[in-house]
Amino acid sequence: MAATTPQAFDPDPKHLGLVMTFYAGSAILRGQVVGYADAGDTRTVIPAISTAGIPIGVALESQATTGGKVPVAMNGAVLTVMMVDDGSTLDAGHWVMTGAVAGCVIEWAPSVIGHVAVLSTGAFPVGYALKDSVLGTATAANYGSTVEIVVNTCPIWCDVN
Amino acid sequence: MGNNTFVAIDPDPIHLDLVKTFIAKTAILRGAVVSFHDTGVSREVIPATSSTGTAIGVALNSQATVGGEVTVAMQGSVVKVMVSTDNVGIDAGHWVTSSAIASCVVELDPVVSTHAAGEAGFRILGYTIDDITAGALATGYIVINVMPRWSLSA
Repeated sequence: MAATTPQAFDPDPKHLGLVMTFYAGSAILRGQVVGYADAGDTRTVIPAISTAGIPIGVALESQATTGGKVPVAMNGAVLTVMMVDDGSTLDAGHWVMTGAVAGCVIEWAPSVIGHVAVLSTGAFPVGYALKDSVLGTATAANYGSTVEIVVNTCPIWCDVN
Repeated sequence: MGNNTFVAIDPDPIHLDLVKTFIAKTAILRGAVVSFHDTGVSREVIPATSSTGTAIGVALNSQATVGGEVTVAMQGSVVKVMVSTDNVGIDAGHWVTSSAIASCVVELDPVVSTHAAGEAGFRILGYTIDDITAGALATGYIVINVMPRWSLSA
């Protein structure tokens, strides 16, 4: 099992809900989960990661240029996202959140005790799986497991401990 | 820091998704965040506050007459709302809730041990897509994405 190499892929939308155009705060690959940085800027998104930022959806196109435009499939979309490694598994119906690999997801961890006590850093929910995940492949550019989800972003909850 | 006193604003929708007509249980101003009362009545809404009610969306028209109709932009809509205090800005992407000031929003407090139990208490309304600059009657766009609040209280 190896960590996914972030790479562009077809998120293959089965349904599009809210779609809006944002500016790329850094290079973005098609199919990556994207979100605002911790100190978010107006309509500017970056590849989402569990240690920074707030996810809002999935990039429908790649954008290599900072400041360039990128269309984002937001709440209500049904599409495929990549998981953090090639051996990741997920059952249909389970929720996913941002992971340690930029633009990729892992299974949702619901324990509020384990969540950071801040608003904008931490693993935020991205949505829930419609199907069981499909295992990835270990190649030179490691291709992570993939899973079809309904995009349904939420805040995280925490407790002071 | 002073509280904003909500005045009618143009919510200027970028996108409308679910839109439904409700009955005003009290006077409602255009652009106000509205909610069901704690002991909600079928399709009746009031200006939302953090101490009462379940926020559901943003009024698209003013309604001064109790029992009159008010059109509400709900889940999935992208509209402007007003922040509750005049010197507080909100970063883009941050979640907002109903606030102590009727019809306005404040940044989400995610700490569950501070949350009230039961129906009374703030509700999550959605998240900002633009930075909101602090100032009197500051407004900014949100994606409406209502959901319940979690608490540790019985």
